[in-house]
This record gives sequence, structure tokens and C-alpha cells, in this order.
Amino acid sequence: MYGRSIMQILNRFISSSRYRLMIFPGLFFILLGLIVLDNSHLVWGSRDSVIYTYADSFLKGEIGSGYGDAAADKVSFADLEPGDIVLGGWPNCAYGRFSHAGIYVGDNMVLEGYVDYGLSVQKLDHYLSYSELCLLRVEASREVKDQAVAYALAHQGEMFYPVAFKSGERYWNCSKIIWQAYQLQGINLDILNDVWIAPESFMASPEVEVLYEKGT
Amino acid sequence: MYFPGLDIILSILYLILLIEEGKHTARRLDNPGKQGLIAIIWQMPGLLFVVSIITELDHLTELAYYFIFMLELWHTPIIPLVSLLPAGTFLDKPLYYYALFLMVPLLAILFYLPALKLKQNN
Repeated sequence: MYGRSIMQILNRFISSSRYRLMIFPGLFFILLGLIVLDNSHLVWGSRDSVIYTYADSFLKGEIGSGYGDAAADKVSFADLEPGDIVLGGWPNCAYGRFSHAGIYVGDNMVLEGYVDYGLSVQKLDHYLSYSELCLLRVEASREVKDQAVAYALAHQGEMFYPVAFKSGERYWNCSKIIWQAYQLQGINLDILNDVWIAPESFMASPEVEVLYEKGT
Repeated sequence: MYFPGLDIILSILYLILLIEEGKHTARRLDNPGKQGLIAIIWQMPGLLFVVSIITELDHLTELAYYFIFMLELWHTPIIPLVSLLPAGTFLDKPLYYYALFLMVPLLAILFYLPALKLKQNN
């Protein structure tokens, strides 16, 4: 009954050229309000949330993934195990120290997300080109890590969307697939419980151990 | 708070509104040429991104990496529908990558079609 009434109201709006253009702005503000209400802990409390980081960077004129030259020192990836997390970044990145994240799947390959490749397995050594680099190990059993890696690999070819919310499993960014892979194994790598997740969040997690770090 | 599938419903609603706007414009203008021009100008940012990426003109700028990002953000209203595509790849690129290119003319055509239909009916 309610569904029918909603459809009737919606129909009236859609057929009226006067009100039609107000539908999406109206829905936008309703949804924005719901998101803000549901995440008030981020609005009032947390200065480390992704949205605050973006806003701060924007005010400094930093809006992209940063830029710079790779540091000359060579990094060994020999100690990495499947399930480890690799972070890379450039100075002036808008969303924190790191702009990119991948989950190591073995054989010098990493599963990561790019807009023009979707979720895909790529060679690990391209992380050498980042001036900021961090290798993280999730404190979990081998079985849990293998399941996390299997989950991530099962989503190859799926869509990358840079501002993908943490909810849902149809679009991803490089951090969300890693967070979700471990979240489903009972390990939450985002202590802020943010709406989005950025590579930076993994480093702040008490569930990980830093294996290696270079940069600022 | 998460409503699975709400994004798809909103995306379909967007397409319905687009067709309705197309019909409304067709009735008011009664000029398919003008409506076609409106459709092209409306999708011009997306069109510029597509042409730049395909012809690799974006590589002439330092922003090459961001063009495909911007194209995806440009298509935000229909991204939920694009995300329903199977997770396959073609020529080393995911299927949704090609859909981002195709959506520019498809959306413009969707807006333009009512004008063509009205002309045929007259």
C-alpha cells in the first residue's frame, strides 16, 4: 500500500516538468542527511576521517594522488607473504600519506584496483616507483589470510570507482577490496569505522604490524 | 545504514527523468536539430574526455591519469547500472571501461530520441 502511494507521488513528480528537476537535488539532500545522521561520530569527533583529510588537503590546494620522484633505496619484497598489504604514495596526496594499496597474493603479484583495469592482479615491483612505501602484515592466522586473498582474487575484473562507499560489493577502490576481504574474516582494519576507507587507514589499524616503511 | 539496490533504483529513475525531459523538450522546441545540439552540448565534457583518452591527447598533459577518473565521475548517475556488467575483460581492459565510453553517445541519444519520434508522428 505504502509502495503504491510512493509510486503515485513519484509519478506525479516525474510527469510534471515543474517538479521533475527537483527530484534529484531533493533526494541528494535527504540521502546526505541520512548519511550524516548515521555517521555523526565522524562529523563531530574524528579529525582523521577521510572526509576531513580531503577537506584539509583541498584547502591546501592538494586534490590529486600527489607527485614526486622515487627514493633511490631499493626495497626487498622477499619477506612478503600472501595477505600482506602494500601501500604506496607520493607527497601532496589529497587523501593522506598513501595514495594506493594492494594485497599481496604471492609470486611477486599484488591484487589492486585501478580505474582502467578494475580489480586486477599486477606485478608488485611497480611499488618501487613510489617515494612513500609501507609493507604491512595483518596479525591473523595463515588460514584467515588465505581466505582474504581468495576473496580478493574472486573479484578480479570488477568495477573500480574512486569514491566507493564501504557498503556493497559491486564497486571498489584499492582500499575497499582489502578492507572487505579481511572484514569478512572478522578483522576490521578501519578503527574509525569511516564511510570510506583510504590506504592511510590500514597503517593506523592495531591489527597490522609494519614490516617496512620508507618516506616521510 | 545501507539499502542494497537503492543505487540501481535511483539510476533507473535518472534514465526515466532523462527520457521525460527529452519528451518535454521535444514538445516545446519541436526542432530535432536543436534538441540534438542540446544533447551534444550536455554530454560535451564526457565527449571531450572520451576523445582525449581514445586519441591519447590526454598524454600531452600532466593530468593524463585523471581523465579516465573524471569520465567515471561524470557518469556517476549511471555507474550503478554499469556496475551490473559481468566482470570480464576484453583486450586487457574490464568491460565497464568500454561502457564508460559508450555511455556518452547513449545518454545523448536517449535524450534526443523523443524529438525524432515526435517528428515521425507529425
